[in-house]
Amino acid sequence: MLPKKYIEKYLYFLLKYRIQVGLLILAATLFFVWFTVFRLKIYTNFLDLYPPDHPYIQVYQKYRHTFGTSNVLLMTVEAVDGDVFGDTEIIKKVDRITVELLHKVPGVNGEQVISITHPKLKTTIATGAGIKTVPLTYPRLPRDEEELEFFRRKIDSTEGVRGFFVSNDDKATQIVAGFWEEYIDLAGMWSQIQEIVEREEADGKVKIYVSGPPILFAYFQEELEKMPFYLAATGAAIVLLLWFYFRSFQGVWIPVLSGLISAVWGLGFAGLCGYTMDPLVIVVFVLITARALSHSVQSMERYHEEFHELGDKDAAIVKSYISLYAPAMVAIMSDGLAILTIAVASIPIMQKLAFVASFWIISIFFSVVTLHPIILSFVKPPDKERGENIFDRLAHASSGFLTRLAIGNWRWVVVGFFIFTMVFAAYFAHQLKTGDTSPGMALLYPDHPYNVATAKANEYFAGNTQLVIIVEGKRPGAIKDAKTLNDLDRFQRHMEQGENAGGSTTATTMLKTVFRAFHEGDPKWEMLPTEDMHVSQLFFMLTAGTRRGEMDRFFTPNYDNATITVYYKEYDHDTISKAIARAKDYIANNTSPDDDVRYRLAGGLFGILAAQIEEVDWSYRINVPLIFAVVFILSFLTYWSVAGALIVLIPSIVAQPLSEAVMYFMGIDFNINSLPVAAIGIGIGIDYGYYVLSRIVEEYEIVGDFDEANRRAIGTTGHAIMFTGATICASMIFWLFHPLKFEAQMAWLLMMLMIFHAVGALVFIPALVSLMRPKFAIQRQQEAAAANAE
Amino acid sequence: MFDWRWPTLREWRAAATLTAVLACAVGELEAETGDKIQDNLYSVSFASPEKGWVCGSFGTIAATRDGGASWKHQSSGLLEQLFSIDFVDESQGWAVGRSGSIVHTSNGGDTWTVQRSPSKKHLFSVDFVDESFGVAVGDWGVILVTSDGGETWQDHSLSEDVILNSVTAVDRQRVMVAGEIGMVFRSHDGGANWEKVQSGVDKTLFGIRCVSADRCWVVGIDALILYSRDFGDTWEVLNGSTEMRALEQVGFGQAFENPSLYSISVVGQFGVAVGEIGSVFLSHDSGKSWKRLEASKNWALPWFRDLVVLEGQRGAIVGARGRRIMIEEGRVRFDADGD
Repeated sequence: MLPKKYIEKYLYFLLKYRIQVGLLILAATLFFVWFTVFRLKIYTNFLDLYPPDHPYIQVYQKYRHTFGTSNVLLMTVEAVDGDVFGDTEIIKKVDRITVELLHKVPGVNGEQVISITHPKLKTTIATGAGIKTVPLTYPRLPRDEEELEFFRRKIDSTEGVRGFFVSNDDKATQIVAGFWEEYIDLAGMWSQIQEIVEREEADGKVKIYVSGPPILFAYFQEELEKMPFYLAATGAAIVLLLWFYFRSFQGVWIPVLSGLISAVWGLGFAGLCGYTMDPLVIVVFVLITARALSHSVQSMERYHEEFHELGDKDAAIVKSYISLYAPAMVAIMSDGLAILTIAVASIPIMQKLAFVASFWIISIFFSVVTLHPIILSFVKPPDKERGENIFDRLAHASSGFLTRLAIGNWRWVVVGFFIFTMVFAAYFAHQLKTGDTSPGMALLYPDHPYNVATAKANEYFAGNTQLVIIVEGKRPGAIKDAKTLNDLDRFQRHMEQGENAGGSTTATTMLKTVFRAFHEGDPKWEMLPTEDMHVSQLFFMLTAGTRRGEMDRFFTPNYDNATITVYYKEYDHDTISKAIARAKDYIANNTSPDDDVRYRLAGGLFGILAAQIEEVDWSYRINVPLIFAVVFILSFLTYWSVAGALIVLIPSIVAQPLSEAVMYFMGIDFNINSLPVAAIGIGIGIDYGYYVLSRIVEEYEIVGDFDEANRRAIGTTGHAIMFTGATICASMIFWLFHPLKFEAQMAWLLMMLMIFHAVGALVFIPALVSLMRPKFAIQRQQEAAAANAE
Repeated sequence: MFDWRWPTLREWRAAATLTAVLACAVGELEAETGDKIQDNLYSVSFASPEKGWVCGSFGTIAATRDGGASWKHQSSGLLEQLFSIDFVDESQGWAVGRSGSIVHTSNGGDTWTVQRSPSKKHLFSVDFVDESFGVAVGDWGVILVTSDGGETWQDHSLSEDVILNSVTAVDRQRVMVAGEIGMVFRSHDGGANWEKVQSGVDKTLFGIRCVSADRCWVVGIDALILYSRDFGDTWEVLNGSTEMRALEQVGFGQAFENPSLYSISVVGQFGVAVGEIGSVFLSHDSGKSWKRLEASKNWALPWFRDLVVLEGQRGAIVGARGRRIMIEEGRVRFDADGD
């Protein structure tokens, strides 16, 4: 522990230079206010979600301008009565939407817009007179029932349309549009799309379902607008709680001011660093603010206690903060450093969160530990001691019970319960898999329009999620080679036969169609040539009949690189892992360094998610031991004892699998969004343990008996812990009802972890101390006794 | 106490029988489950009403032992397209394909071995009349003949560059071949010499089938069905358009009215021809007249590349993306399409 004399000197220094230090803090706060107001951006930055150093992301970034992005909007147009070929107006609607997506909706990559009315979708006619390749809608959109039927037949006889753009039962058609990440204007895009949907649905002929990552984030942005309400409700609940606790104006404004200062510092730091903050993790910030408040309340409470005992402001400040300083410092440091470990992940959003949250927590040192003594020295202390409040009554009522658990045979029951919890949690934690369990489900409730739209798209079409394998040429024009193309064809087939694959497309799909067409449409010629000369001819024929850019998603104009795109209906951990493993296995067994091309993984949403899964898995594996290491080192430095460090650490070791088990039971996806929250949940509650253990050691110094020390610690620190628990609950309670499933689930998870940490600190740590009788406490007591005797 | 002793012979026999029954039951279960077939299928052959084989792209071969109710993959050992398959009985079968590929089985497809081909040209069709005599034809006028079950293949290719799409052998002497630009060739000496016959059309012919020397059909582009009663001396147009039109005049209307037909098969009174955009033509008068089966609205329109008709108006059709459609009692079972 920090020697008391240093703390005392520091506190007298603070009181002596209170104006200067106060002004410094004010200046720093104004500095951060400026950055908060003018520089901070709160929105979801797509590029922040990708780990930039991961090979899949590097491939994706390198080729996304060539082969298109993974941010694809899907519009499922479903006929209300009959099918899409039952009314010419439905096809007109599809055409209107296609044109508007191309020309009106901001951020759309024009080369990535496809629908049954877009000229990109072509069909080939083979007759005795020759071959013709024309757009599906050539020469015009269908005008009557006969032409509609004819249109349907054209679609049926064209490879790659049914299942991808028209459902097998003709009930729905799909319009696809890709977006550039850097040009996307979520709000502008969303209002345009909503306008289109509203207008086209107005006559009741169709129902339009919109899905895909840009829409997911648009919905999310929409929900974000409700955030101020939740923040205001949380603020009101906390103010009310403070009022109930202190029953004084001072008891409210000082903690609130501390919380706000910390928030400004944290957010200002994000602005200073030029970070964009993802609103998804706002619940973490609410939690940190609640932590700042609870630190503030504890210091106020202790000061009031001491003031009424000593009757002198400065003496009370010094005495109270001498006791509080060490556990508060360790608690802040362990929370802050535990969160900082998240920065090992190379995903920008996680790194930014780690730095900002860590700074925010460490700022509590200034907003509470430093500023409080200064504020308290200026303000008039309350005239009389506050009366017993609900938390005191709760603490008194439960302290007897809690003390009983920490002594006698109950200790064994408590330890046994914790071991059982750990084994039970570890078993279910093992079942939790990284990644999303279902599209959109991680963020939104199942009946949310986005999830309904995704389900519709999956019900009607081959699969909305793409795995793009890049075929990278080692020499110019490497794709224009018979062996290469045949290899690519076999690779495509290998992938298409994998589990959950709904279909696939490559350049070879179209080249084979052209080859077949030039052999009078005989399906037996739906193969690739064996001679390079024929391959060149095929490419010429294919490109001659298309507009510039139309083939870009299949191969580059210089024939250096190409793609294999495989479609999947799901993007859960298993589907992604199996698809990536299948591709890797094929590459390992069927390619050689002498080949003209190399296959690179992976683009498309699958590539991004696979990279995130690998990165999240890796960083979580590193994070958890790092958090434990930080906590252990800080605890060891605090108590200078391995036993002391272990006693504090053990609740966190149990909390880790418990957190995963809770996620498993609640169906929370363990992904890029929830990992930092889970990691924070493991580390952030550790300070309860410090407060309890420190108090036990302090009391043992006085009474020389562990059971009595336990009783006293529970009786006193119990107030603080229970109030902190209540603050956390108050800060989280409204978020449990948040329309975003993710926010609600994270609030549940954090609340449960905080409660677990509180229970661990109040029940497990006293029981363990009673059983272990740590030497460092005995030694300290002996030293204190010897000093007193002198 | 339990006193252990060696089982008696009778007990061993009972256990063996039980094991065999269980193994058969498991086998049945597997057969019922079947494999998923997604590759394009180009050819089908049945040796009996129950036992049949299909072949297709990427060296796919699959077999049924229950009349097409379920199919199991067999390993051809090739990744090349296999365009045609023919079984003369339940054991002996051949499949030919891209780049002169020929594979043979003598055990019903449990194992397939590659046969040496004198040509690297694509082989599109093969027909065996018995376990030793067979003919395979393909690209660039290639014609290969074997008289020893494929141990050796003789190259009797045509001198002209013509794609030969289909071959039919009436017996070990009489063989007929159809190909592009309305070309039909016949041989009266087991494939050693070939004579061009006038089909009367200039359009590509995709399939030929003779059930006897005096009953032959060819099918081709623009829904052509030609019939010959004299082993190719004369041909009668039963269906389709023989008129040549300019490309500008051709639209989808014509393509849908007259789709390409790829294969034809007639047994007794019942005949079926299949082709592009899911077209199926039926005959109930021994192939003398044909009528198109109306496409159902909910029926996707893939191509069908081959079919076989068996006794009892049964049969099987194969086509795009693994489609296997069974014909039962003269009815085409589109409702039981493939997997």
